[in-house]
Amino acid sequence: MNEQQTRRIQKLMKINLKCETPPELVARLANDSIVLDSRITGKSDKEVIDIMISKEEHDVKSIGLMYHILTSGENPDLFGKMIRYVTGGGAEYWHHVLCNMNMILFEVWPFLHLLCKEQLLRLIREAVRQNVKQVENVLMNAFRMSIGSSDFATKQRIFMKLNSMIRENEAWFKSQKACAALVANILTCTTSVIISSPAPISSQDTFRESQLDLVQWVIKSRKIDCLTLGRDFILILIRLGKMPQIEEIWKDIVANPASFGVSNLEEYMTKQNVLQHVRISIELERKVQFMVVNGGKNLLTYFTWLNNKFFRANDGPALRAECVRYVLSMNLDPAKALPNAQENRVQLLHLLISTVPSGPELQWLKLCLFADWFGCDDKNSANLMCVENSFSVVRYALFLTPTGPQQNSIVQGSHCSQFANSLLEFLCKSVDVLLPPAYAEPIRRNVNSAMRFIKDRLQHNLPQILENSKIDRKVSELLRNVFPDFVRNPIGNSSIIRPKKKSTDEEKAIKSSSEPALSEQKSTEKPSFSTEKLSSDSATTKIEKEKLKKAIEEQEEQELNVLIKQLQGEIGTKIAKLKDQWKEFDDDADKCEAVEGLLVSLLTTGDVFDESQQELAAQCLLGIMGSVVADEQSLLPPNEKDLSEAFTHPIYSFLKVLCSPPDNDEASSDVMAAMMAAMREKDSSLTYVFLYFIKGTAGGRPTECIECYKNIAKMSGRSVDEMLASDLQLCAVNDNRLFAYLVPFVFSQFEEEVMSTPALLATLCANLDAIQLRSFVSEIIREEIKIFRKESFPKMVMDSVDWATTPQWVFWHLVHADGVPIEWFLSTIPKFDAVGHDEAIANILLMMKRMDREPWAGLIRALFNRVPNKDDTFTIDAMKVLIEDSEQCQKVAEIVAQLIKKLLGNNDIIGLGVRVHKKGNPMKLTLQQVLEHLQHFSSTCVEKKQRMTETFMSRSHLQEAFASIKVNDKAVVLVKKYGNLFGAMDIIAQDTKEHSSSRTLRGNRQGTSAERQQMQQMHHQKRKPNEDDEQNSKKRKMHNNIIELSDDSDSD
Amino acid sequence: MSGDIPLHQLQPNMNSFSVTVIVLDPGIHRRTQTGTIISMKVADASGSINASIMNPEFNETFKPGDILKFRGAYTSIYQGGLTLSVGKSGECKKVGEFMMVFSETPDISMMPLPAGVMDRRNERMQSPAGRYSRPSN
Repeated sequence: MNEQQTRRIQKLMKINLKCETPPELVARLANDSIVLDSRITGKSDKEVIDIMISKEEHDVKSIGLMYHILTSGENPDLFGKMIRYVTGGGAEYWHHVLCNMNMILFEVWPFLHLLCKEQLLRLIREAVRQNVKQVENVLMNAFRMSIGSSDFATKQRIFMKLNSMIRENEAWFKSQKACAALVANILTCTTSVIISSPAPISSQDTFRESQLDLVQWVIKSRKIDCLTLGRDFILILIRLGKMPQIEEIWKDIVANPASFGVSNLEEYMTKQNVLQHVRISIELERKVQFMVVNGGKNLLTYFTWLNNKFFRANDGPALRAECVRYVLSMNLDPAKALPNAQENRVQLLHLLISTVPSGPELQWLKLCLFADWFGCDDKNSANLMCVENSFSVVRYALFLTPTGPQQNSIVQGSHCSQFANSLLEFLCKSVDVLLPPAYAEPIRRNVNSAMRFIKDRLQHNLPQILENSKIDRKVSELLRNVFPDFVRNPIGNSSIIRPKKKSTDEEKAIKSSSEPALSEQKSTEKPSFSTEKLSSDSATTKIEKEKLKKAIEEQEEQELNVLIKQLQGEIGTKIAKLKDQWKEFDDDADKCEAVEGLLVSLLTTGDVFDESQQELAAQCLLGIMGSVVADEQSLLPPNEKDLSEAFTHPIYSFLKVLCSPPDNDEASSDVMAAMMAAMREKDSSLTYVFLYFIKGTAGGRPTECIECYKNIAKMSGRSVDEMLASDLQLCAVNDNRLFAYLVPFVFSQFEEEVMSTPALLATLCANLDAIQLRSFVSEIIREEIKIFRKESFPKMVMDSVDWATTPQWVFWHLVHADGVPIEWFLSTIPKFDAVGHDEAIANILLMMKRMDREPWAGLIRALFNRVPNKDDTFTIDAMKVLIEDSEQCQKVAEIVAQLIKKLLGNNDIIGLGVRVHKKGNPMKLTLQQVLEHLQHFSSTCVEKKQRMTETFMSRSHLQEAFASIKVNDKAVVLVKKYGNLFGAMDIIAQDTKEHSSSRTLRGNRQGTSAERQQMQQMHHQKRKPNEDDEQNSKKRKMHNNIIELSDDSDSD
Repeated sequence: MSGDIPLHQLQPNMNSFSVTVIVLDPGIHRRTQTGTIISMKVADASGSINASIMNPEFNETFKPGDILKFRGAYTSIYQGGLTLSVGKSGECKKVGEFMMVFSETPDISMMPLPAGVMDRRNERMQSPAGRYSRPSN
């Protein structure tokens, strides 16, 4: 091979000639082009045409011409010249060119450069444009070859060119009378590419949409030709799922089936695809045929190679489906095929399907495998040949013995019988869900026809498959429902129950492949729509706000004018003048100066300036100055430490005069306070602005300003704490930053008011967030703020129990931070409701648990003062907490004993919840109430792990107290009523006594002589079993008594 | 010799023959003291054998399923087994892919060698005389 031939070969395909031999046709193309060049060089077009059409070495010249066409991608003039040669040769020469084109497509298409492929498509386009006869055959083969092995980008590019070729020559396409094969291939191949294409990620990516449009247009243009595909046409529609373009086709075929050449959809399913042999590329077809004919024991190895080349890319699943449909209907020549060719075919089908991961692709392959079953009709015998191969796959999978793990085996871990079960399950479930419910019965009839055919072929071997032990029970039931004539019922069960018609996973899996694309399209559309809607809503809102604002301004203007008219004398004149000048002022400083001047003149005027006039003047001023509080904007500057520019609004000039009236006149102070009170009636935010002004400007002299605030409250007819609470609440709503800034100031400067009323505390607890709470707690710990006072604390606690839960939690944080002692709760403990005051009770129990002092009589008395209730566990929980420590336990026992003795001495024995007829109607504690609590305590808290209750009840002081109750004549009724409690006390006392006596005897024996020690040891060993038995007996008795006690308590 | 020889007919010390095989395991380029070598597993309808190519081009790589034609090949003994080799005087070219019936058994490289044939390296190692031994008087 010379250098010239080498260069020409490398222009056609990528090849390393040192280690590869080029395909024969490629070498021939290169060689013949050299021969052709030697003959036509230097000749005119006419002479060249004469040479081309001569019979001598006709093939050499035509093949050489093809080389120049394929390699003229970068030389349009050369391509045009070659087209002129071909056109000049006439129709006969075009025929030769078409044959060469088919030969190139079949033999060397996979090896050509992309540029050469595009040149071939360009030549096809030219032939279509010139309406060359039989060019549709070449175009069909071009579609076939394009779905073969190639990188996906190249495939997309080629399909775009094929698409444009069809759309540019729509008239030619519609005028063709016999192009059913072309239509079939366009639909099949384009569908395969559409399924393999990813969803578009940008608006420029129109490949998928253009291909869908092509499919839709081809179907609409050639409806009758779609019948050639038969049931594969329905598979195409199912595969493309819910694409909008295909939904129209579905509606058309259901509403107007006659236009497609059938009477209904079911008839379409009975039609066979007569062009199965042209649905895959030549390269793939040859390899599949080779595997079926010659695979043998190496079929798995061949499949591995095939899988590596064709099925690993994005279009792998689509190619698998095409191969499954092809292999099912592939014709085998009985004369040439080897005996095991049929078995190779079945094994290949099994490999194609079983090596796919589970998911929608696997479900689709199963549908491809069984599609012929759903359209099997007794009337058409041609349909019956395909169903046997499908059933053979089930048989093969069912009887295949799993082999051990093989190196590089792609079917490693495959569960064959499980796969057979899944195939049968899919077949049975698809009967009712493949098509609309109206077609379920015909589909069922068709699958039974298919099974009847299988039975005729297999005869007695069919039950071995359908009733095989490897088939799951669930699948057997499905088979029995779908194929009642072929699967025997179990003995004793003669009824047949059909499965309910409902959606199955198979249906969802089949359709799920298209849903992601639709979902993505919808999701991409949705944000823009939402954005537009939001923008339009915001625009509308702005317009409405502006209109509302204008209306409010107009209303305020009218009200202001009315108020000014009501003012008398010089005062009205001055205010009217200020109103007129207000709009002319550009600077806040000028406005402030004007306001100060007006106020000074008002305070020093000689005219009558009574309360009504003061009120009117104040409201007029407020109307002129406007409100300082703005929506969604804090009064506090970003830098809280620098307030130099914070007080520039004219309202602060008013506040300045309020705090520092001219000549410090008391009368002026009163007038200003009255005016401020009047202004607050209209704008209640002014007073918290005043607090802000005080904190920000008063420096070391806040007292005088605070007095002004108190005067304002007095003038408003409110208490200081009420106004503070109201102001802080409003501030918390309007300006949370300012609220956090003011709270420490208020609680430190208004200490008396804070401690005397819960309203302010309620406002604080309801509005503090976590950061503010931490800051507040820190200030309490640093003793800069003091919140609680002993005298007012009970009232605060009882008010707090009615708050919401979160404010209560904040309140208890402050209680713990302030270090409130447990003593402050004595008067409130009896008043807590066990049902509604959970937050308070929980915190008090925790405070008792952390109490750093011994229990005292007042605390115990307060606990027992609670009215006994079965549902109330506060008292017994508190008792349990108090006796946790042994020393405290002793102390509590002493206190309870003293309390019992005292009550006996005072004859306060009978009664529950008795109240004394005194001022405040206080609770009177009685012995019965104490015993009631103790009985509840003993019945609930005995038999615990640490046995602290038993220890508490065994204390000598308590035992003595109970003994004194027994000997008291007036308490006999209580002894009988609380017999369980007294019985438990006796049992515990006896147990304690026996334990102490046993220890004493053992100690006395230790001091005897050696001989006596030995004898006593012997006696001790003899007595040991008896003592153990006695102890066990006592424990059982005590346990029984406790059980009895519990039972009695339950009955009570 | 003209025509292709089946693999099962190969014998030690044959040379200048042609075979057509299919690649089962392409192996990798391996460096040696004298250059590089590719060791592959190839087969035809009569069996399989190990093949080696001496000093291949850097881009001479083959895939499983490639059909190769060896011209001017020879057989050699390597690691106790018969090996198909091609050197400077021969060539190895890819002529197709996939469409070839093959059989992995028998593995000719694992078969026992004919009587009297030994690996040269083993022969040198088994010699009782060393480099520094003196001839006996």
